Amino acid sequence: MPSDNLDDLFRQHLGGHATPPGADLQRRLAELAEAERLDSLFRTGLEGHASQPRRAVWERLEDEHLHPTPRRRRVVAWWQLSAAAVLLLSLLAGGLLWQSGRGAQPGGGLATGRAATQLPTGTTASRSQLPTMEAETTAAHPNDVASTNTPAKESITRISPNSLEKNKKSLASQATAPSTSPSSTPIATTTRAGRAATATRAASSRRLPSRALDTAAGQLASNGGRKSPAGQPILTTTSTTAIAPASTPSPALVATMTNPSEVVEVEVRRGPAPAQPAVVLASVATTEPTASPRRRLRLGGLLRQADHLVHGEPVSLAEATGLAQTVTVQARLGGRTLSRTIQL
Amino acid sequence: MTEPDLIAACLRGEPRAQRQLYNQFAGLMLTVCRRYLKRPEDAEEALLLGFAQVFRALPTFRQEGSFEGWIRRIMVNQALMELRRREPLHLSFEDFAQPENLATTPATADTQLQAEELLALLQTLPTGYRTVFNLYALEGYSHPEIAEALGITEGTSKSQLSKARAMLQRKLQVLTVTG
Repeated sequence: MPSDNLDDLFRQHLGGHATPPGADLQRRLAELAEAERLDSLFRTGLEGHASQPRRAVWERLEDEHLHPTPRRRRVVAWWQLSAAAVLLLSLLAGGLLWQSGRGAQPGGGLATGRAATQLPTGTTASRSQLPTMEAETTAAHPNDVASTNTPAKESITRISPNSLEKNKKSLASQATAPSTSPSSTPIATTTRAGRAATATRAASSRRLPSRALDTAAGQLASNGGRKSPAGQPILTTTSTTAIAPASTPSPALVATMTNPSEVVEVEVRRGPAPAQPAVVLASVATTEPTASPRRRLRLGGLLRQADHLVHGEPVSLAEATGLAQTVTVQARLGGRTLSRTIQL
Repeated sequence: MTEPDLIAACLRGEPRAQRQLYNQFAGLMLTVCRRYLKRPEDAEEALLLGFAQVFRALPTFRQEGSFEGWIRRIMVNQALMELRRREPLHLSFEDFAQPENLATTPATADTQLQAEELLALLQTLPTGYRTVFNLYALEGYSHPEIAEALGITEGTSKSQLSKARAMLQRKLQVLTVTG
């Protein structure tokens, strides 16, 4: 058959015939062999080789991936942290309100939120006034809040040597509208700076300006609550009080004039023992014997005035502090008594 | 513990079993990561995340093929991800101008080189060369697979591979000559 012949034909002639590979093919084969050798060199050399990971890697693996912290714990911790932060802020606010209230600054505890945002302008304005003021008692007053408190103290020293009219005028202007007259501007700004200083400490960050009002309100409520065990009225509205630390009986207090129309007796106490001699400080004379419930009710008025301050509306200090239009502030320290009447 | 028992215990979340699995494979896998990532901290990061993925994907492991191979594939993917994070990979596939003198003495299997020396050699390569060489020569990927994994063309993959080999040959030659 032709097909059989064909098969035989091919088998005869091709079987055993050798074609010498071209040079190019040889080179390529050589290259392939080289490559294969290189690859296997690395393969066998590295295969089975173990590096030693640091111990920290396993620990991180465990902590971050295998046994991560349960979310519940994180949430709880957050609440605890925020509660602790609010408490701390309240304490700081309370402490600083005492300090800033020394300069007969009505409504010192108000609008800490506003003060926080006002801090840049208020502080710069007050700082420009500081060189002109006499620093009477700053030296005698070692205070860890001295830096922030300086504006408030300066305004205090400025108030005491001032005449009654100027005092009335400045405070009245402050009551009606902020910085109505140039002469009252320094006081107004230092007041704000004092409040701002309070707010910086109290708020401790500009992130919480909206919460500072709650803080002020909260610390007022908590202050009100705190006084009940001692049975002594504690001044929460620091409008007309000045505070000095128990350790340094410094005369840096508000000087007020007596006015027989209304006498609000307030004692501010530090520490648990009620029998601390001359720890306070200033008293606002009032005829009301039961000051504490009235003060608690003032919270509404206080917040209203704070709202006015925030929105730039006129502030009524009388309503804010719950005192009459004319108030006598009396300071008792050691054997000395200073008093002044101010118009709210 | 046999491998299936170890895997079963890990699936149950037993910490001791997890630790044992880690101890068994971490050293090998760290070498894998070090082949891809030059900096030790990057290699460690890839190792950490790779093992996290191993434990996460463990339920999907069909106990058919090699467990080590399965882990290794996860580790390589993690190393590539880590590379992508450190530098945009597509920028790494450059052609580095090299002198054209090809190695006349090819590296032979007789060349006694320690693993650390080989690792060091690998780490001297540009990232693109090193990655493609690792995937082709050591992982056994094909050029289409490499192209897909790295987002490059097959042609780039081939050229990067041949350039990587040429560079390695040259460096090996230097090593063997100077001892």
